[in-house]
Amino acid sequence: MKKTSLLITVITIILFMLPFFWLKPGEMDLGGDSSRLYFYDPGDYLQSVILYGYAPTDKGGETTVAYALLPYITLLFLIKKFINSPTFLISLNNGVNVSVAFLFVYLTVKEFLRVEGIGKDFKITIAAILAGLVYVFAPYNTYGWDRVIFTRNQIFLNPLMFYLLFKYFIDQKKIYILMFLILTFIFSFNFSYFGAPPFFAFYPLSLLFLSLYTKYIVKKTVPIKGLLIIGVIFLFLQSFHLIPSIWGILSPGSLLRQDIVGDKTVFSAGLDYFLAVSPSLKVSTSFFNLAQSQNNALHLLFVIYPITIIFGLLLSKKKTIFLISFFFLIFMFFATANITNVGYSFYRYLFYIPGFRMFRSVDGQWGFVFLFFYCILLGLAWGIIFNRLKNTFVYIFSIYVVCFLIISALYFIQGNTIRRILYPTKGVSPVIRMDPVYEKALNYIGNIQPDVKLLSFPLADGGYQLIQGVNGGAYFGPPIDSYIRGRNDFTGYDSLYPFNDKFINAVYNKNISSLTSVLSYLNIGYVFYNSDTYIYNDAFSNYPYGYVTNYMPVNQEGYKKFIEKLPLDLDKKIDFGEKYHLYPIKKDIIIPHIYSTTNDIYSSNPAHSLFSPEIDGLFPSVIYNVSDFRDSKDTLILEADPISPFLGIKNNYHLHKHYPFISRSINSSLYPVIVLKEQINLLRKKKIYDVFLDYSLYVLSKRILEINESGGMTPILKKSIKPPSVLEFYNPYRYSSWEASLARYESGMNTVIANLNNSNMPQNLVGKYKIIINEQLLQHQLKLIQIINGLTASESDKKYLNNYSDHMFARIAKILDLKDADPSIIHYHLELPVNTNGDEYQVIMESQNDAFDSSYQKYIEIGGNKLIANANNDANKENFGSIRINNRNIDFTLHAQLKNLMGDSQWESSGKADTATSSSVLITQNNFGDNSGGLIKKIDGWLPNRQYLISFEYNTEGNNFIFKLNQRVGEQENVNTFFDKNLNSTSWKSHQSVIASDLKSKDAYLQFLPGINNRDMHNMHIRNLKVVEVVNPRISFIRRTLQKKAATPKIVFTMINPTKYLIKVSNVTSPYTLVFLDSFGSNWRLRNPHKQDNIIWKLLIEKFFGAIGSLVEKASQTGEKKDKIIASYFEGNVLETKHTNVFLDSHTFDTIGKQVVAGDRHFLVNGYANAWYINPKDLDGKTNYELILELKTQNIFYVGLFISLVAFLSCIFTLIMDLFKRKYYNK
Amino acid sequence: MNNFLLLKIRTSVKFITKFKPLLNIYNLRLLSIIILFILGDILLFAVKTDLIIFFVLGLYYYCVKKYKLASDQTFTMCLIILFFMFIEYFFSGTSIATEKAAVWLFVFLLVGSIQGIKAR
Repeated sequence: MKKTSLLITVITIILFMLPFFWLKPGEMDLGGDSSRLYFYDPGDYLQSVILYGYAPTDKGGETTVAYALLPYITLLFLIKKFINSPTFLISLNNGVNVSVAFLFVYLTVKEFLRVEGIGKDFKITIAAILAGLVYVFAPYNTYGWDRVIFTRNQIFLNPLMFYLLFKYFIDQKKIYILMFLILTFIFSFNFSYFGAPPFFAFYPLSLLFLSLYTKYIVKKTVPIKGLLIIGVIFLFLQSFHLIPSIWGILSPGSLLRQDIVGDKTVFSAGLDYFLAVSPSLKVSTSFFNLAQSQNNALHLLFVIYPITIIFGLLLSKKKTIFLISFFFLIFMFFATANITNVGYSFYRYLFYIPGFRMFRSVDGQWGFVFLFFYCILLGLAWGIIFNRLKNTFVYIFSIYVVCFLIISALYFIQGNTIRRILYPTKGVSPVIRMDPVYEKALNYIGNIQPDVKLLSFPLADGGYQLIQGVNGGAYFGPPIDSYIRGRNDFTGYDSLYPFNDKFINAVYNKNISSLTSVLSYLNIGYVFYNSDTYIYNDAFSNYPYGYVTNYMPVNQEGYKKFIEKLPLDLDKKIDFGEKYHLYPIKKDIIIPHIYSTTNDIYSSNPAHSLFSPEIDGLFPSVIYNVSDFRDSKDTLILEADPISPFLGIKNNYHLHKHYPFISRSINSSLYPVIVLKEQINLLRKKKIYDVFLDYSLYVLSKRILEINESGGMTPILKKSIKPPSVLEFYNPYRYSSWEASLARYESGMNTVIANLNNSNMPQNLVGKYKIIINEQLLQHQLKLIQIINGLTASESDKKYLNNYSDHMFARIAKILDLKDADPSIIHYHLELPVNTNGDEYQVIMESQNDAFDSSYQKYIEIGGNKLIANANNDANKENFGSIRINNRNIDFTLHAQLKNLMGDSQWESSGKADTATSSSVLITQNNFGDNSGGLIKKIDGWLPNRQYLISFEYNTEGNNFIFKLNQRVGEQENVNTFFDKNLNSTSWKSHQSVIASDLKSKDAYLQFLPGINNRDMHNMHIRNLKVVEVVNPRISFIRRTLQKKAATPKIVFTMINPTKYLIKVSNVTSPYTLVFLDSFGSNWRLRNPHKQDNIIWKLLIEKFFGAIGSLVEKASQTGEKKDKIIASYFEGNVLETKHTNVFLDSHTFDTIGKQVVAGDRHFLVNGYANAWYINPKDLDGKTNYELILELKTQNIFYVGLFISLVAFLSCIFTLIMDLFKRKYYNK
Repeated sequence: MNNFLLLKIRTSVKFITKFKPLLNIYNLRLLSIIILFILGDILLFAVKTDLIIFFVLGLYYYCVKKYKLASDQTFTMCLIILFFMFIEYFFSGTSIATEKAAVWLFVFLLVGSIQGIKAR
């Protein structure tokens, strides 16, 4: 073996072996967003995730993501057959990544240098080796080996594929391209829809580079014809995942389609994300070949890279390095997106191209490609420089580079890169050794019927699961039982949608009836509880349990008590050690995965109506959305829409304080330019009022704050002026005066209000925006008072400015004309479906809180009628009787007195106060000077997560007083101040404030303090002080079913695989609904297996593929009896037979071309599930028949897989033939 | 040993003298003005603006045309900019000045690469 080859082999082997030292035997790093559970058990992962276009988590549903992993996971599965160790498999994968990456960067650089004609010398070989090592040990490459995603294989695929393409372009030999094609098949995920970002980042520009290089530097013909053929073969090879993905993209309303062309995704998840991350992208960091956001003193040594690149460019006599440099700079442009303002804007505008959203994570998507071209350029530069240097210099330089590479990559070499501590813990490693007790539980779950769903506790925010390893590490990723055992597991709050809020509120309110309904309608059969305190403690409290802990038990003790209250069959509880417990749900509450019903209900809010007691007598039922109403006499549950200005005010947004950055004071010569720029921006934002208002309030805050920035140099004209135009900047005395600034402010506010008044928005929205504007006015007014009184000006000037400001805010308030809201009259709107007006509706109000004053008789005014609540109502609902509604659209009002929370508690005061009642006048007299004093009164009955309205009348006799509202939050009882407002009046004036209490709010206090410049004894009079909870109770109009329902057909269903069910229906006498409790997907089809629609399909596909299927079936015959009944529901009306999990058999293609049943009557029901409304004539009036429920994309996958396999085998055959020919000719 | 050292120094001097043509006086004056513009932008102004970049690029294009400047001169400029970028990086990390220097380096590397492709 030559010296060079030996050196390369040794380095490659060392690099390959390196990851084998990272993990101790039995250790695995399996977590992450997409997890790496395929290393743990590739066989089961294939079965659960890959083979079927079905998401195995929570509510199930269609997906095409995982198909593309089929060849790679199959390869892992075959390897694991021989080496039964996940640790080895992970190390092998990492070893291949590192060693192959090095080898092919080396070979590519070497090849470039060979073509340059300087590749023979050993020192040139050293340049190529160094380039390979730089690639492997680059900071960008050495971080992020923990929780990796599937496309991470691009680390070695980019150099490998580039080298094969390079060789093909230069030598034009078939063998390279065949190897290229075979590799694209094995690592299909990197060429799939979800691997599109690295694919589009690398291949188009690389192919362009190779074409230019071949044509203009090597002076050879670009093999265009060959490339076209390769393109076609490539598409054939990738058919098994591309065709289902394309089908998904073309399906209207599909998630894939929204992902590409949806406005929301383009701008919210694309551009917004880019704008947020782009400021952190640094061009200088990229020049030093460093990873973004990593700083280390050692990184200064990396300056050697750009220096040597420039020297290489200076010394080169050939074009190659310039072309590489040119492309390197193109990749750098994309990898930083921060090259000049024009370049930045250019990248921003690229988001208008459909699909460009995939490059929103600039560094993440372009980083590897940039790094590859960086190393190629560096290798070439070093080759050129080394060619002119003596060997000794080359060796010294090489030792220097290798040393600092090793030192800077020690973190990687030692394997710490896969042990990055789990956020937010301080020391929990993501590397685990699986707990055998948990594995036992996992195996048990794998053996319960496949068609069952689980709910896991402790519940997380997102769909994550935490499992402790025996080595102290923790698995943090998607549910293992879903990905490995194929059991739909609800592990997070999000996964419980659309019942997630209902669920956590039910837990919080201990409403077991609602919890039972959630379990039933989500088809949950078991509760899996991990009682390990290690995974549910303070270390993980912020993440992944941050939000849910506001509602769910805060510790494992609480969970144990909570679980006991659930409708579980506690006698059949199975314990796995002390930590893992599996509880079956009580049989009588389980609703089967598939059922039939004739109890059709239409609701404007199906996810809520499922819990309504109004449907109690209609079990089993299905709840359609009212938009799908079929003009029938079925039960209707219509919720009226509350019309309230307070509804749109979320999270106290209206109290938001702007803190604009004041870059120029109003005295600055550049100030007119800034004002002009703001005017242009306002014009651009005028179309959407929300955006316009937000920016206007931001700018107007600036108008107030910037006066303070002039250091007391702002002139006072002592006369009011109009807002000066930009052209008047030549007169700074006038242009930058107090009056000019306040005139600009007043004019801006008037424009905001005028735009609101002139808009066509509904009154409740106008009211909402007026509240927001009013809150900002109060904030600005207080700030202005503070600024004026902090001035080093004469008292007369201050008095003048205070007066000026008071008058200005009074004028604006008059224009705003915000009327006091009366929360005791609540407005509603109701819209009836077609042909239902004239029917009689029962009016029910849900009143789950005690905000109302029970001594007051509630009533509804509707269409001139007054409906009074019945006296004998239960705690949760009030019946207002029945009414015949004649109009389809109707407005009405609810009249109800709300409890005043300002009860009899005493005012606490460091001064003197008379006790106030709601009717008496409170006179406060104070002389306090700090914020802790004043008059304080506790609000009785204050609750967390509620909205309150505070109203009172006041007279301050012309003095300033501050009004504050404070709440105590959390266990620490920290005091938060919602707002402080200035009150000043010379006569009685009313005030209202609306606020929402915090999720962890304990109690709240009103506080009145003397205002600025109010240190002497002064009186403040307050009367009619009220604090009431703002409520918009749900009012439903219910039309009971007007016809006698026919008997429900009997159902026997069998799961063939997760994408296919056989349903036997009997006793059909009338139309009915077939419900499938899985996430709604437009590609689910119901077929009649005995009626052919398309004979060509039958001949072409069913016969051909059926033959293949029967071969597979014969090979895997188990002889198990398939019709064994395993569960019975609804008194035997729905039977479930033993499930199978058949990927391919002689019946797999039976349904191709078969008649689609009720294709146009496939609806989203129960807020998330699938249902088909089936008429007897759909099946020629038969009373007993069979139906097949299947996912269409799965059939498409079978066809695509066949094409791909044929193409793959053809490539393998051609490669073998080519190698054979070479051997033969060589002989 | 002394002879060996002498030999090394001679080799190094030989290596440096290869860049002698870059120091032609007529180029140097204009290039110095351009360098001063760039340094002024990097070190004195806190605002990022493209105007100065396009202005200097225009001026440099004029120099390239007028004095038939080769890519070598451009890459020499790159070395100077890199020096300032490194100094800025050393003292202030990825500050605005470092970033501005990096953008100048990018621009001149791009110009030099295009010159290199066209010339050879």
